Amino acid sequence: MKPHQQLRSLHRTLSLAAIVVPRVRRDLWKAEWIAELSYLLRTQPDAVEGFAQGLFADAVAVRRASIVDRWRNTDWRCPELCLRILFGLFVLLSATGLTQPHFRHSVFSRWGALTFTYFVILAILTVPSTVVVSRFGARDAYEGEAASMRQRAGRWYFLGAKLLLLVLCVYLSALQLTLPLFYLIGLQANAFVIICGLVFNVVAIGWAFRDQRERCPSCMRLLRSPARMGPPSWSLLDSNATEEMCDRGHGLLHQPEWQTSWYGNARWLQLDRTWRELFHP
Amino acid sequence: MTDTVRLSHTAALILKTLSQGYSYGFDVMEVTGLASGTVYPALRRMENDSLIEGVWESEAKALRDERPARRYYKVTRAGKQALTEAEKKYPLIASFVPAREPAKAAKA
Repeated sequence: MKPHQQLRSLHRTLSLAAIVVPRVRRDLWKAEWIAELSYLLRTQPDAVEGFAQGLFADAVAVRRASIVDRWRNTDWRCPELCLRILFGLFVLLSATGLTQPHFRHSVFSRWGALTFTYFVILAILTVPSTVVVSRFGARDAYEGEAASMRQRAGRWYFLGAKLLLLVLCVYLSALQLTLPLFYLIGLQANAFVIICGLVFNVVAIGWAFRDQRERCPSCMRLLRSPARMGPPSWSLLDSNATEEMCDRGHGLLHQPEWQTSWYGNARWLQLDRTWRELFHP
Repeated sequence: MTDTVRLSHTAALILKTLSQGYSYGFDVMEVTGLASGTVYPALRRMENDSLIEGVWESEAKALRDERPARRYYKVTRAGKQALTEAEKKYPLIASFVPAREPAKAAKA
């Protein structure tokens, strides 16, 4: 291979491999490889081809390290991530479903609109049952100094967005699950969508409320480090409970194991600012 | 030490090479006989684990030699600890890496 052809080929390989490298590290990565390749071109031009084979392996290694770093640094407890995951699920279910003609027909037809309306009504009717099934919330977390007005508004916005995305995801999953029935009995299968929806809604909305109660009322992050307080035998004369805390030091949630007449709801103990320095920022 | 990073044989070999004064990726390849697709990813991993530290050569020196500035690597204190542990595990590793001639080291 002539020198200019070799240079062009190297440049092409380097540019291709650089695409794999994350953008923030790309320039430095390229600079290091260009330096090594130019040194080698001057000293051992015959070895360059073999040497350049490592470009892709190195680019993949850099990309993999960046993915691992990102995974490790992901804040799994933050509310934004919860919404992002639900939105991703919604997009995935929509994208996979819309490729099916029966799915499209059942979503966009008059029957589909009617089914969806029933579905939403069913979801609203599910709410009281899920409140009974799930644990009782800490009333004091919703009062007093536990959170500012802005934080309270944010909490309702989060709950609303979560419920909306969940109902949509449940509707799409019910449609996907009953899709084979559309091929057999046509639009009558919408009845099965509603039956599926009844079950799915109880699970999904129950989870949404449970998740909401296990979040810090100030920062909406999931509480952590559950600790059992007291043995189960205390339930007759005293209260045994589980305590969880906010990792930003906003407070503690005390959740009784049994709902008793003297200890019905969970209790939120708001910690003042002096505690914050013990926790991560 | 419990918090020392455990090294594979290849990683230990590369670390040993760097500790002997070979400081560029290509130098490491020449001494160890490993492929570039093995050496460079290993260097990145070890730099991520703070076992080695990458430093860019001064522009002035590179300009004098009429070539782009290269990145050279040196072993950190954590790297030396990890290497000591690895040498206990792989006692023959030193015999694979010849010590660098002082003249070459000074030139680099």
